[in-house]
Amino acid sequence: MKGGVLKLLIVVVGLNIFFAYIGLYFLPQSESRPPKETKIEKGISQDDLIAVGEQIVFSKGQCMVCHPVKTEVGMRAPAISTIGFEMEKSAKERNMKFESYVFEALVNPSAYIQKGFENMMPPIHKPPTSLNDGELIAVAAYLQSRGAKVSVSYPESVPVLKEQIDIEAKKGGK
Amino acid sequence: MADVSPSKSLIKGVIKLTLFLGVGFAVLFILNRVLSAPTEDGYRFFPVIGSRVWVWIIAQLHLNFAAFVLGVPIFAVSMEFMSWRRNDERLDRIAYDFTKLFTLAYTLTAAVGTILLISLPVLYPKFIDHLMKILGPTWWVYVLVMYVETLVCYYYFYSWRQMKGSKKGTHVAIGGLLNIMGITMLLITSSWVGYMTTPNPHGVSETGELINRWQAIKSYMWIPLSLHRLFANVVFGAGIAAAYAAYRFITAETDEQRAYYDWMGYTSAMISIGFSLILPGIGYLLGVEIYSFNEQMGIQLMGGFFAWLWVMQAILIGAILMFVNYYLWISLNKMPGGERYFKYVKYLFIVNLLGYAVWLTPHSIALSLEEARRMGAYHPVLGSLGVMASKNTAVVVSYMATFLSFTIFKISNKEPIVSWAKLGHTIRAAVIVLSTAAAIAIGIYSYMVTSAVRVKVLSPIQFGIFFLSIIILFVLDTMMYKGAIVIGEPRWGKMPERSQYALIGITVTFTWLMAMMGYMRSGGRQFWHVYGIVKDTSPDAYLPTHGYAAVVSSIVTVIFFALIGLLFWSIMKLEKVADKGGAQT
Amino acid sequence: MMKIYPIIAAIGLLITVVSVLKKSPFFNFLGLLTLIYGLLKSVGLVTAPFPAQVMTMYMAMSVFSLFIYFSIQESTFEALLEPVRAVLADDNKLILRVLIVFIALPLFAGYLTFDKVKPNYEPPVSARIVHPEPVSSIEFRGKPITIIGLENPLRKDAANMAGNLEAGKKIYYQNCFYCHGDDLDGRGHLALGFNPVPPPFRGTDTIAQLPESFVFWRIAKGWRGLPAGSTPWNSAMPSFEDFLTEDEIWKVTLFIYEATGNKPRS
Repeated sequence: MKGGVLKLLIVVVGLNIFFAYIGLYFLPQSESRPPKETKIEKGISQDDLIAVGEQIVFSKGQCMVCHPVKTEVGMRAPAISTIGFEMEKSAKERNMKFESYVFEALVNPSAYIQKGFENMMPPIHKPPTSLNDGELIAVAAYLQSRGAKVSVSYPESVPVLKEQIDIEAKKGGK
Repeated sequence: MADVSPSKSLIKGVIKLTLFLGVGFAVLFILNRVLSAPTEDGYRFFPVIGSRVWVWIIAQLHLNFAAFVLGVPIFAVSMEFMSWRRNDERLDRIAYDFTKLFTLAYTLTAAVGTILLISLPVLYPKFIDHLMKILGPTWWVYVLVMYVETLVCYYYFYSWRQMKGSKKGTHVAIGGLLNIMGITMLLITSSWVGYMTTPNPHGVSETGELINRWQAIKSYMWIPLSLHRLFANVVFGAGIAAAYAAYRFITAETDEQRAYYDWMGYTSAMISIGFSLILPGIGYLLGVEIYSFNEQMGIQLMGGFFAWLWVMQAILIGAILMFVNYYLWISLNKMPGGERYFKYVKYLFIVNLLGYAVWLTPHSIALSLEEARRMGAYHPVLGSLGVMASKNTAVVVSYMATFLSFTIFKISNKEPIVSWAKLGHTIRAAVIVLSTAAAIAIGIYSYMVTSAVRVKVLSPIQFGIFFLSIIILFVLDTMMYKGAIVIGEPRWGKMPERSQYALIGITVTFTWLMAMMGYMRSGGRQFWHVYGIVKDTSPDAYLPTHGYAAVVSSIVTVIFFALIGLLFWSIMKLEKVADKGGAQT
Repeated sequence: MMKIYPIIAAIGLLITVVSVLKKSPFFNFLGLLTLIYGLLKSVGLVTAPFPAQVMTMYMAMSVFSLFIYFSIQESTFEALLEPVRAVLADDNKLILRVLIVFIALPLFAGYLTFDKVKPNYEPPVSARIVHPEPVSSIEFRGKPITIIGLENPLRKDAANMAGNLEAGKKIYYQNCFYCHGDDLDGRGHLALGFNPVPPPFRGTDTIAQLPESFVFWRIAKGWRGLPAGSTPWNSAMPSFEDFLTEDEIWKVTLFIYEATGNKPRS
């Protein structure tokens, strides 16, 4: 009877140690840290802007959750590697300037959905992603660099961005 | 303890609860005065282990106890109801034993709850202020319901002996009221958690201002989470009851006790496993709600940072299924005529083993989102085994095998007398073979369709086939074994001790799994207190490694079992005192 | 090395069969484990071997499950433990006990430790992207060219097709064949000097999967144009913009598709 209780104790503690062991030595170990806010200097060079944008796309922006790098079968969202080219084409079709188009796609994505995709993208200037103006422009510059000549710059593009944010805010007043 | 009169018990309950709340609020008041002011962004820090781990452990412990005291009454009252209808003394005894367990666990639940009540506002003042602003009134309703619940519970337990006989119906009704209160409490607490994880944009603005309180309560997760918790509570509560029975079996001194606790362990374990069949379905609903709230969070939980924890879950549930089957197979030994069915065990074992192997096969080493996206190279065999199509199939087939283990145990000591018995056996074999073949065929077919079809059409069909076939089998057996010749009554109590460790193993594994799933639910918010609304700016605002989370889960589970052990031990002590008292009078 | 695993599996099977005949669950247990291990490892003969982590998972699961299986019936369970108990307690097994406890177990622990701490000279595995995403535009000898959507201008020129192909053939044999081979199979004279070896143009998984604009970019820019994920330091492809004109690159592109019977992806 006494031995029984002891064995019980061994089973309970042993199983817990075993599970902790699996967690510690079997599963991959990595932490997920909250992203940092990036501040962008005025008059930043285009190459640097694109580099910052690339970083955001692959980390803080969490774009990779849905967007693949290369075109693949059954993708949820358009591929990043040719997105500038596609955007330029769509912007022309809709008689929009590239800048207005790309900012609309970022802050008011439900306004226009590429054919063959569903409306599922969140506006990324809002929580939980909450990119600031500079970051949004950097992302836009990076996207444009994927297949088009980069025209977005900081801080020159801020007014166009603000305009799109305002349109989204008015629509979102529901 | 049985000599406490019902009315006295009510007073006792009120005093106890008021004492806990009073102490809680008093300590809170004093601590807020004594401690230095919180940091600018609204945090205080718990010494040594940090605020997060402290609240994590306390909240999970409180949740475990709460799950237990809310889950057990559901089947305890059901069993009392059946004992009343069938006039079955043994069912009444087991229902009373269940009730004894959860009534005595109330004090521990309230104690841990009080610690949580003190810890949260002291350590996270700003966040709690926000919660009170949005959902404050629900907290006061909660306190009110808690009082009623405690009173009903104490009255239910202490009036058991008195209300036996003619008043039994009223007593069962009180039990029903107890469950209604319990479910209300569950709904309220789930609304808090639901709000934190999936806040409803119609209820609260992006800046954290209240728009509509009802909408804020009615978050995306609310109902599915409540349902999931409700059923998981039953599974968990029954598991703890099984562990209690195992503990009593191991420490039993007489054959009569051994027989009773063997039966109690068996009954509890079957309730636990029976209810767990529904959990994947509700979990699926919960997943759908999370996706519709925010795709990003859904993908993050299912395939992103947390992907490997699903492999861990598979390891754990696979182990639980193995333990359950093992218990049932060992149980065949105590059934007169059970030896006839041992020949099937081999095949059931192989099916279970294969299902287990498929289920725990990892799909990819998802170190981070980026790497997972860029790596892309999968193992040709494992890559196709480790996806949802094959895993769902494996789960369905393993559950099917487990159900069959249960069936052969049930029928092993009987011999059907109906004229169509032979045909019946053929039908059973046909149902088993056909449903398994159908599940596998759908599994293979789901490789060829898009993920939307797989998730929304084929998986539900697969689970549907499974449920349909177990219902058919159940009905078939009930009809076939009506008035069957009983070869011999089960020899309750004639179980090797190791079978009881399997029961304990099930419960420990399930408790650990609950801790892990709780972590995932909470971790899904990433660096937010309220996802997208209140940002977590404390130093703990990051997701720790899986190993770290596993260690905390183990610590929580060990503490929980230490407290539960204490509870069991005190019940035994009380019983001894009561027995002595009974002998004297 | 791989060939040994089917033999291990066979030995496991043999132990299993004999132990079933001799009614010894202990050896049955060991035999089954050996069999499972051998079989799982043998997978490597047919396709890629299972990663070590997955092997550990499967083996741990097998040990756990088999132990469960052999402890269902009292008699089997007793018989399973019997040899262990005998070794630990029987007086006439003293020598065996000493061998196992004082020699075999320490040696085994020592081996595990050695295996864990021994220096490892294997290069770290890096996933190389063989077909990287193309850049959107390049500067060809200072002239900007948009790569995305670019088509081979010579394809429309049906009249001069034969002549262009002939010219492309010449360019190929003057510049490319040293590495990419006489037969365009990636087995040129110098091919084996490189790691990785140059890609073949035959078959359906290289140029057949790519648009001509991609091929143009690769020829024009060589290793220098590769992104970091494609480990440019693992490529010896020269930048042919320094040696060939735009027109010549299009000609040789035309030729490599024609000669291998492949069609560019559009």
